[in-house]
Amino acid sequence: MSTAASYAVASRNIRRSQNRIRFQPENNYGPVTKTLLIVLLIGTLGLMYLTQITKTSAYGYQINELEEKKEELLDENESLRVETARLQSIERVRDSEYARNLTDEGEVSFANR
Amino acid sequence: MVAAIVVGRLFWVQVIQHGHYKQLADNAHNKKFEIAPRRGEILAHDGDNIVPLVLNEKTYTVFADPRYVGNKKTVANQLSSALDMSTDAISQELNKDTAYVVLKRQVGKEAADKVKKLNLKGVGTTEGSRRVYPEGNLASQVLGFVNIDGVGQYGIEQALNKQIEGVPGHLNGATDVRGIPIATEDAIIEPPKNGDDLVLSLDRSIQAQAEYFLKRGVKANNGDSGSIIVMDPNNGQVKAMANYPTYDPAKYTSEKDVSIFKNNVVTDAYEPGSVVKIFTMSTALDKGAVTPNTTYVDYSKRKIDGYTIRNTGPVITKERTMTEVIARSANTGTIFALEQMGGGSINNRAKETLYGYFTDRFRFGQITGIEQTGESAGFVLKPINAPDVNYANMSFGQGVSMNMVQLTAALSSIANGGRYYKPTLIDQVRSEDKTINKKPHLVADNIVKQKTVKDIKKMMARVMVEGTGWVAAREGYDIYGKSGTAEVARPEGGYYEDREIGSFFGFTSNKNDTPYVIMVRVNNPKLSGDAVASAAAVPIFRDMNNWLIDYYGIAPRK
Repeated sequence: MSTAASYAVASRNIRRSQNRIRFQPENNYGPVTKTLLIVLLIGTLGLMYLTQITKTSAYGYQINELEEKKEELLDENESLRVETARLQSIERVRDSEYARNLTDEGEVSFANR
Repeated sequence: MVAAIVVGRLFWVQVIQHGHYKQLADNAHNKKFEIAPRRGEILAHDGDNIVPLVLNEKTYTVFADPRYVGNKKTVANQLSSALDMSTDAISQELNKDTAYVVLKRQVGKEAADKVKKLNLKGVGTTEGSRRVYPEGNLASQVLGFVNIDGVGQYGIEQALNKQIEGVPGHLNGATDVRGIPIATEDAIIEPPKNGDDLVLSLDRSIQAQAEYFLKRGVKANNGDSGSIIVMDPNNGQVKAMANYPTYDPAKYTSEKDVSIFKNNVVTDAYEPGSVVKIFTMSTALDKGAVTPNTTYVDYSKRKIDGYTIRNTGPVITKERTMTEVIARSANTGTIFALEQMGGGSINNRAKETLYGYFTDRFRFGQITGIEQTGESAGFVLKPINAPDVNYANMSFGQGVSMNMVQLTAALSSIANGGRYYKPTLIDQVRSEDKTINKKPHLVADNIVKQKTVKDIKKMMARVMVEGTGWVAAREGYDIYGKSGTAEVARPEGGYYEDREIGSFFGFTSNKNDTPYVIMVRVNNPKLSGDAVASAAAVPIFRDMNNWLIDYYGIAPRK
């Protein structure tokens, strides 16, 4: 076997054996640490859950406030509509100073009979 | 052992009794709320515009639970200025031995806010709504009102209550400690269905003028009351409908006599008198029993079944045409026309013919179905075994009863050339998702022949020249009318000697059509001399007609 061929075989062997090397992580955590980690994880998740619930609740109040505001504006709109209608009522228009100052139309003549 | 008991108890409470405790928690947090629908608005036309007649306004009810109210005297003092009520009145309510007292209803927002700001224990407010009438008294008897329970009373409000009131919605969801609902995913919301808005066929300007002329006319003749209606004969739509006296629907509780709430145009069928001659004569003309030129000898009275029937006015003997019968309003003339329907006497054929036309063609004796509460059908005597004298009386409008809508609709069918449209007050219905324009409801076509329409119109035109309508004539215009003075029937039988009802109905025709028909009625006018009651109705017709000629821009003939 030539030198070049022997290198090629060696390189193939190394690639093949790469996955065969197992790196075992150093396990320094004891059961207490693990429990604490789990409690911490659960706590964090719980906190996140509570935050979301609180946020939802807060949004609920915000929605309520906005709805109340909307209601108020709608009420105001209604009141203004009523007021506008009152101001434009025929009785009010008839009794207005402007109407009182109008003169009688007199006799009507028609251009196209 | 202890741990086992604790775990066991927890298992019992959390697993076995899960449903029970969940129910308790839900009851504490979840509440059901009814969401009130918005009551439909009522609008009307004003020329080409739409204007509101009835709107809604938010109001509040201030209530208290006296068991939780602290110092009642102090609370009464604080509420007194906010509610504009006497301290004594509030104290009286707060001292009641009950869990719920209403301190004041229909309180405005400003006052309700003041009460809320006081933050008094045991005192609260609830929201409601009330009807507001920007046009005041206008068309009040047509509109009706809404009572304290939110139910429509009289007029449109009662007749179409189901359609206007809407359907309540529901909210079923979690609440906070104050009982205010919180927006959550599992909240069940069933939105309310608001009531329909109604656009009436009434024209605000015509309505206002009609009320004005009616009031002026009734007062001028010291009448007890009066009514007016303006109808578009081309579709049956009512343009104005009013009574005098009237009331303010916003203050309906202050009215002592509930009869003022009635819309007499619809509810009060009466013996209309000579206006009915138009329908008797139309029947006779349509059946070919008479022509406008048919003559008879008028002795000013007739004896039938032992009763003497007289004409109004001086007793004379004269040969009259049928046109004169209408122009001069001769009772004997319509009796003659009735006899001609039977071949010369008031027999079964004559009675059947008149009854058939009155009930099938002109639709008397049955309600028109106009959107008002309490419509009176009136009465037309059936021909079977009917005494001749009753039918003789019927021919000139006594012994029959009709309401003004029936009479105006029947006259409209003559004015428009023979088409009977169902009278209506509704032009448009606006619901949340669609708007429906109401189409005219043609009940019957050709109810009389075109020749009959032409002839009867000519006769009615004579009324405006040589009859009682001359006061309402206007140069250059084709105006048609007929008056009626009727005795008022006693409930126990017979007629009052000191009461009369004056009526007048008619229309003005344009070149090609008739845009409106007017009917006026005045009850018990106090007129001077020998004037008949219809003399009180004619000037009101004249004023309304002249105003409408200008309003519609009807040009005079060349």
